[in-house]
Amino acid sequence: MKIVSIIAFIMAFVLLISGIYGLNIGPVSLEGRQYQQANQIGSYICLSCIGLTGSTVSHTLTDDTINRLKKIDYPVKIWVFTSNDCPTCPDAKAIILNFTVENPNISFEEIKLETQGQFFDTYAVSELPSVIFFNKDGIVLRKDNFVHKVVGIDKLQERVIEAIEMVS
Amino acid sequence: MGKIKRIRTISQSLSLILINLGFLGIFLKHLTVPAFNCYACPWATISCPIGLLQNFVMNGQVPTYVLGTMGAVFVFVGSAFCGWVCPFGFFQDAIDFVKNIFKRKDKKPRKKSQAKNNSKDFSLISRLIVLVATLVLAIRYVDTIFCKLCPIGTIEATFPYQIANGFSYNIWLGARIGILIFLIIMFFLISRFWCRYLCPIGALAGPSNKISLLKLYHNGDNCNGCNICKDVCPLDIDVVKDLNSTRCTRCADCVDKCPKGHLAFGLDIFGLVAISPFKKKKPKVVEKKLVTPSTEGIPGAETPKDSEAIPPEEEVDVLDEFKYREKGTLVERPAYMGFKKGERVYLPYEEVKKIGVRPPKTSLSVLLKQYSEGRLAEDYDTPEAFVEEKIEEKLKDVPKSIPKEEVDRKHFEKFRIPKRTELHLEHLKYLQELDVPMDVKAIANNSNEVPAVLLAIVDASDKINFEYINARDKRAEWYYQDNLPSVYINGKYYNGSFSEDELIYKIKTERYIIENVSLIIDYTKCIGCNAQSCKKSCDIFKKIPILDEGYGVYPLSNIGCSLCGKCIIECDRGGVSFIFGEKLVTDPNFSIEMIKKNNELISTIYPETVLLFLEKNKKHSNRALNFTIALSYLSHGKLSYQIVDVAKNQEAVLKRKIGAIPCFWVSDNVQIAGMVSEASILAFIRKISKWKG
Repeated sequence: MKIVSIIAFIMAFVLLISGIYGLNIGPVSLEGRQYQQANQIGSYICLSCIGLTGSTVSHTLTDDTINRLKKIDYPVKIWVFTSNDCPTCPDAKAIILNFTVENPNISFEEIKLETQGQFFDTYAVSELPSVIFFNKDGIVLRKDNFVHKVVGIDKLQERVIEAIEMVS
Repeated sequence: MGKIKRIRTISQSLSLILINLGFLGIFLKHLTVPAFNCYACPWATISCPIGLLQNFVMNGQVPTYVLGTMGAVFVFVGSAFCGWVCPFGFFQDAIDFVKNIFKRKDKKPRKKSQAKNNSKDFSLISRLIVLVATLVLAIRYVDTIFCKLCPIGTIEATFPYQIANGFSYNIWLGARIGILIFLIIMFFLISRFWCRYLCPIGALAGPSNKISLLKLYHNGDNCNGCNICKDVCPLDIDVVKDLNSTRCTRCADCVDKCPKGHLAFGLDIFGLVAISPFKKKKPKVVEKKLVTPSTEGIPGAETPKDSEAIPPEEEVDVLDEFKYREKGTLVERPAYMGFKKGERVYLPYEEVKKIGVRPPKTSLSVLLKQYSEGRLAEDYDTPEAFVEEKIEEKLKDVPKSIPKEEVDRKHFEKFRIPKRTELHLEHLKYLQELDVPMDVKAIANNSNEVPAVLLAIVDASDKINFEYINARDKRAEWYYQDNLPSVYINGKYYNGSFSEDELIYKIKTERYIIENVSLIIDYTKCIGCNAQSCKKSCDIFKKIPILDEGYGVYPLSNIGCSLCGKCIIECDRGGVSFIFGEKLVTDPNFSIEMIKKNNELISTIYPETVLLFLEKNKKHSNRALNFTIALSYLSHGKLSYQIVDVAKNQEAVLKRKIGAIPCFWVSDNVQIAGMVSEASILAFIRKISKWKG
């Protein structure tokens, strides 16, 4: 038992220090050392990964959404926050793309965690996917003084069209 | 709730807040600790180790950082984080708490199925299966499957998310809520069910108990298997057999509840250096054994008369007079007690003269002459009176850190006026030979008021412990103050005049009580007693060992008890009582609950002296004695009593025309005789109290 405990003691610290130092064994999908990777994993939660939002959703817009979308006559810019290892982010992106196809007033940009992480902090986005809205002057849509975020992909169409109507 | 459990609850609540400091905008998700706390919680400050593990494994990396952090914690404290930090453990403890409330109402004894205890312990295996399954699923499906079902995630992340973003249903939501409900039901059936069979962190934490530096130690010398530790353990570990179990969460409930303190945590550094908490305590056990009575409690067995039970006290400083008597300068009495700078000195006449201390007025030859003639009492002249204001001023100079008793004592020693009375030689002899401790307290407005004769008595004996209490002091509130100065002898108000004869008589009666009364502890009532109020209220009880069974018989003169009666009131379980006589006569139906309830009524009585006519070794006499002791304490000593042994004092009984024994006798009109109950004794109190209801 003596030897086992000494080995365990040494092993624990070797692992800890190698993790902090950034000894990455295997492919690296996130940047930085392991504790920085842990920070990214912990900070930007992929909602579908932990089962908070549905994993499958229809990309085609409903008639109701299309009718309401046609009435929009002012420019709206949409930002979609995504990440590489987020399984539902492509779905969210596809739905927003359909919005832009239906109405040219609406434009969108994809903000990737891996490349544009600073925007995540600016708009306090910690869940993926998230969608935020800007009007023609580039002012972000707010609700009760907080940035209005549409989070997850459950009922994404309804919530996005509501938000677009609010931008006016 | 025990002391450690209270600290643990505070620790758990604090760590729940510290781990979830997001509401202050503090996020440190670089960090992780081996505790279950979902990082998807909007307020979570640190990351979940299992979530990180899955993410790293999913990406094809070796999770050295997470494993290292957990390992570093485990090698030091083992699974202590499970019991003291983990929020999910806290949740389960809370459910246990609710469960216990309902259990107490039902008053069903906790039964444990033998089958459960005998079955093979597969808890570690099932936890390992969960851990391996979690990692395998994460690799296979490249998804955090465990997180989708995690119960703490449901509580900390799903519910806030659903509230913030509106309700939306998906298949995982149904599954995870179902799992949470199932787990909550299981928590009500089996405490700490999650930690026991499912926790993947526990799969790593459990085995670390065997190698960690923090270890549980058991002092097996006096353990006779009461199994309280096993009963209180939320994980049903047989603690004594398996101290560092893989299931243990280090919650320390067993340490808290062990009635003898045989369990404690120590350090074991790689098996090389073991810092056991019991190594130092061993000599104490030996010391305790000295006080143990030689016959341990078979009811009816005779108490040992020998004084072997108590270790012989150190050689008490012999009064200086005795030394001088040996030298040939006969001083039979402390007549040459003088004062030198406020300190008492005992010196022969010649030396007193040399020092220049005020010598006694009369010379030794005159005193001897007086002694032969039979008149020895002589007063000194009182010196000029002290001005109280000066004393008050000087008292202010005393630093505040000194306790009040010490200040009072110093004040008394300093400003006590050497106004002296010579005692009768017979009395002096009696007091010098006094071998039982007495406790005398004087409550007065200033030290001048303390009767000189009382001080002379106090000075004449080493065994009398004197304390002066200023009436304006807080400590004096408990005492009767209507007629200052009040004198308390052995916790009982002295209701007589301050004459030498009466005081000596009172001391004689007190001595009789102490020499003939014994303290009885029913150890069967001590098992599992957490309060230990006896030890808190009285220093004597700290010397007395608490055994598991039988009765402890301690003659009062052996243990130095002055029979104030506090212990009999403080013990909630009725384990303390007193007997009059040598035989252990037990009384299974003895209870003073009703007397305790009426303590307000009892505290209003006027000072009264009761003559207790008792027979030795009789159940009802003992009961009457115990009632009286309880009443005396609850009345703040105002009810003072004196025991009369009927067998030896036939005349006293006949003179007062007493018909039945035991008898409380105050006057011819106020007495109760015969068998006593709590009701009759309360009726008796009403007779002598202010209360006329």
